[in-house]
Amino acid sequence: MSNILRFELKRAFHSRLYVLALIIPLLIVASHIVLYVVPISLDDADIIVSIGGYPYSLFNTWLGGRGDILETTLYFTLLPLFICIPFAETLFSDRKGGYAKNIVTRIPLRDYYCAKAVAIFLTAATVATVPLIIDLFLTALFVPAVIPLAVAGTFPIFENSMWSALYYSHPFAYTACYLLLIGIFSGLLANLALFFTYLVANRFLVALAPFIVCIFADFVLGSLGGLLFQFSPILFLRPDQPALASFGIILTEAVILVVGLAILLIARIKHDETY
Amino acid sequence: MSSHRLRTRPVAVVIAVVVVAALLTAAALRIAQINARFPNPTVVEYQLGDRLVVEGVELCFTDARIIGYDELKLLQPDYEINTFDEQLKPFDPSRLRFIMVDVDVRRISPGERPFSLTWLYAQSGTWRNGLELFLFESLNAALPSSIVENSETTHVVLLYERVDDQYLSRAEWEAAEELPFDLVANVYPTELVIHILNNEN
Repeated sequence: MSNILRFELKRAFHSRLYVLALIIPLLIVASHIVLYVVPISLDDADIIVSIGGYPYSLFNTWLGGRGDILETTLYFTLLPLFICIPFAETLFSDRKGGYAKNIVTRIPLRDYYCAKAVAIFLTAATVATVPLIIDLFLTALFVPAVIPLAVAGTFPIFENSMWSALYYSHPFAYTACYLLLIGIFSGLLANLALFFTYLVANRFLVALAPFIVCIFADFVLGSLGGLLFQFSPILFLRPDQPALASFGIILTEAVILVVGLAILLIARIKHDETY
Repeated sequence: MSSHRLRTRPVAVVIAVVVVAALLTAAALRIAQINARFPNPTVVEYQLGDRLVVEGVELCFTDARIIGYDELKLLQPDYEINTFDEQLKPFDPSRLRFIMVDVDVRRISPGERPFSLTWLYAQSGTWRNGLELFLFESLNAALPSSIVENSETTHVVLLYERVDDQYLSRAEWEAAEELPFDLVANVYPTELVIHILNNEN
């Protein structure tokens, strides 16, 4: 198992598609820093404070903390797309190209499928979180990490937001927890492409499928109204929580993805071993 | 691999490590510098009955309680609910409660910044709300910014609205009335906290 896992990971992380998948969100990060963060840092914060305002803070300026700018919406809307670029469709292309048949004569099928799922998970998790970490670091070079203050009225987290107490008491811990959440859920979301490997006949559709599912779900859930939009990954993966995330809902969706993936892999292993 | 490349490879690695270390050090110094200029606010706490001076204005918070709509109507018969739900209907009175705070106000010196009573927010945990301006002007017959200019002590009533949909459930909203409530003013680099209700100290 370790050999095939090492091989798949090397294939995943050393591919041009992985680099491309990192470049796209990094361009969004660059736009955010140049067009938003740097101009803010040039504002005279002393004037803001002199009229009773609260200084700009890292926690409501970085890409995950500011909901009313284009870059944040663009990043999290396109997230399901660029997490799938590196490796999500490789099971499809391996099967079509005959590589999969070749490899499973040498190693157990179970090991191959598991290595594939792990490689997809890790590439997606890193593509989702590394640009955000870079943005956080770059923003910290321009904006102070002043602790969020509810009465300042400039922070996006409210009483009934998820982890609101943590945000206002330990904002770095909140940010770290949310980055972990984004990484884990992105990894699971990218593995959704494995389902579509057996449903569609085009490798690009396989890679696009998780993105299409998320966009469709976001549209339908938003249209139905009420609190159903809390189920949309495009919204609940945003640290600024435009839709008041619920940990119970996120956990439920993650468990469904894990269980679904496990059932798929077990079923495919049994089917493919037979034939 | 040629012996020349074998000799230059460690040198390239060392140069890369030195450059990265220098950049990280510069970044750390920059972050430290910017955070030293704008540190976290210093929290100064007060209790009911304490006198405090904010931007040349002396405040003494004498009493605080939570009242319902019926009691508010006794104080202000003309008051009509001006908070609306998603269907744009006025909230049902049973969904509203008000935090009522009595405060004595007097200007004793010119301030560095133009202080107003609207700077005072009611807060409990991460719940917060600003001053109910319509009720303030009705009850006190003056604007929050003008009250603080009087050099004689003026007794003022502050009102803050609590609505049940600011919480995850009705039960949580009702239970929250037992939690500590504070008035908080952002007077950066100071954060003033006046403990007004359910404070065990």
